[in-house]
Amino acid sequence: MEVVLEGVSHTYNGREYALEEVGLSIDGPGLYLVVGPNGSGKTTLLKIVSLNLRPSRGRVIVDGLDAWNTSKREFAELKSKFVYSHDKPILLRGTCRYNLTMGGRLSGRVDEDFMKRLIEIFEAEKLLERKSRELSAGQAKLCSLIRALSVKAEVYALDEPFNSLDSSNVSRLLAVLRELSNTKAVLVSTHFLYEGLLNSAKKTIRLINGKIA
Amino acid sequence: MESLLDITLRSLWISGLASLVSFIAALALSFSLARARESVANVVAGFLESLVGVPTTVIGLLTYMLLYPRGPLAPLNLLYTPWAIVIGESLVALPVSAVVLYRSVRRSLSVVSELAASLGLTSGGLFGIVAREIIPDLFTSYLVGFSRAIGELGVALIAGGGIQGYTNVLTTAIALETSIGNYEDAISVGLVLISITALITLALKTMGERIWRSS
Amino acid sequence: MSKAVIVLVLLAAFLAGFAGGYLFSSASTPSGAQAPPTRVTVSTTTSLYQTHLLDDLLADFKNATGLSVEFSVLAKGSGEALRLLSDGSACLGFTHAPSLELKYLLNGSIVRLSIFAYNEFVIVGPKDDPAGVSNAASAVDAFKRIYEAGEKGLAKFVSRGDNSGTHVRELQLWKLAGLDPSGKAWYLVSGQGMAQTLLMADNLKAYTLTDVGTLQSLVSQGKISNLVVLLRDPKLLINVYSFYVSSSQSCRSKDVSNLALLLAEYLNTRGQQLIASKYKDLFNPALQNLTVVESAWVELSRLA
Repeated sequence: MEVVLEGVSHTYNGREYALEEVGLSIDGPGLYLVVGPNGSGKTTLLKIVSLNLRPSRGRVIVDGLDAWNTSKREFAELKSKFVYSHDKPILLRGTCRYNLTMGGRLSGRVDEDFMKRLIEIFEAEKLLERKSRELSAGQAKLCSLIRALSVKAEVYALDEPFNSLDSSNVSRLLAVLRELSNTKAVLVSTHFLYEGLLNSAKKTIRLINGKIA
Repeated sequence: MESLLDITLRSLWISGLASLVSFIAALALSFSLARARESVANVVAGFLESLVGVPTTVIGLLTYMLLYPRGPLAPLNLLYTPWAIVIGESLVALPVSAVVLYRSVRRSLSVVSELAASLGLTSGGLFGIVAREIIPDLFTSYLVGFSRAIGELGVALIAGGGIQGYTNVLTTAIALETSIGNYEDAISVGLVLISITALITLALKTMGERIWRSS
Repeated sequence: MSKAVIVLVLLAAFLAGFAGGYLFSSASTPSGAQAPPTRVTVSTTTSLYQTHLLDDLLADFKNATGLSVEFSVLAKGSGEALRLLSDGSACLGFTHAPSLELKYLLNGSIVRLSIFAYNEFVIVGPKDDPAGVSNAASAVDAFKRIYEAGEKGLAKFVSRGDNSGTHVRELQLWKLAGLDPSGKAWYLVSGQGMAQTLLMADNLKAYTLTDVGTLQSLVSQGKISNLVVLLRDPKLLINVYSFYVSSSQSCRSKDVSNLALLLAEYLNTRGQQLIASKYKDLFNPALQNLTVVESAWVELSRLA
């Protein structure tokens, strides 16, 4: 799967640009790092790449199709190849387990076996029956990451996935992402650089003030 | 005066049914509003809010004009029947039920839609999930509608007529007893009205909380 | 989720069951051709309702004829009761406001089937009677005295102000006296039923005009402490109760007409005995005195 951004700019308020004239290509499986300080446009870029946000200007080309100029059905088809995971996890009322089933209910394409493996890897069984509002920040993040990663897709855009995780979970996640990036495109934004992450990256995109540095 | 139990049961089913009708309408209304453009939805929501304060006597008159022998719905033969009160009271309860629901549906729908989009879904099928997210508000919406319906007099008197053994409900019983100077009975009916509203509100609220907590 | 659904469904089923139960037990008017209508709406002035005379008459009528008809009784002032009759919202009506009745009779929206009872209005007021109403020669004279005392700040008067039969009569008396009390500080408009107006007058030690039926029922309940009857005037204060049927389209079915005629016949026969025996102190049967009562009605109906 190939995603190309051409001259993409985005503004939320019509005055300041969160992204300016960004060109970028995601070509096939691999780990893509998006790094930069706070407010540099990482989240905006990830949302645009994963078709969660329509850029104010510029084109997003997915496998040769201008994604935002397609029919509703074509767009839905394209969209189903992407998963985006929020920096601040969105969990619905109910248990972590209920939130995990939401992945399947909302997307219709969930890899149950992979979900079970992720739960084992992160030792998350004990979280399953907890209410979402009783989870700690790190546990909530874990729950939402497992939900996102177990949905079948071609491109995973993970916004600050290491935030709030403890060090053992950071290294577990790292291993999972490395494995996943063998077959899928995995975009990871972070303002914190791990040695292991930089080494495994296929491409590193540095953002400063909305521009690629 | 007919038995207080009869009047109370009649009040309960009439207002319970009326607020159920208005609750379902409010649900449909707030979901379609939540999907509409925000500017449009805000105008409609503001309009609904202004309707909350319309005197029930005005709605009673409106219902009467709809149902009386020269009105558009005259062939239904509903004037001075319990169904006339059900119709009028559902109009009375609708704005307040809808106003309570709309804000909460809009908030929850935007969160659930964002989550659905992030997982690759582009449209539809969120009704059940949103409804589950706002269970306590569903109960509140039904309850405020119910309280307004069971406590209103205008519709019950003008379109229902307060007929003994047929359309006499708690509020018309109070009005009727008062009008013949029987303040003692009027007060006892009033106390029943207050305790019923309080009891039902409490019971349903607890039930709502419990369902919400256990899920 | 599933639990919430179950609860909502149960609630709905519960309410539907309730509704169904009522629907079947008190079926709304089917439009059968032969059977008498199961439910007929009756509008009545509050005095007949409050004294239970109407309830008694209707129950006795059903006993006497064996009809299974249900009467939906709306207790309203005569003005509203007549309006409902002319709309066809109610098909049968019992009122006591001759001048209003005449208007509707003349435009053809109602038909009179019986004058079945009469009693009288009385002027009540505080025991010490500051306006000297008890010495008045007539009701008109009494109203003049109340007006004068009111202007001097010695008396108050409470008016129904609701276009009821009593209110209409009161306005006629002011007119006959050539006085207009509206807007005066001592002239209070309650806008309420007779009982509430009496209680108000009782609390304020004010004068008012009332039918004897409502007064008697409040007195017998011990609710009146200051008011006494100060003046009777058989000529100007006679109170005539008539029975009407609406000629609106919605009341023209054979069933309703038959029922109306049967009821009129009942009121003129067995009903008269019931009024004479059970309501001796409150109402007089009209038939035994029909010429007098009828001519009183005619005279009253002509008063503007």
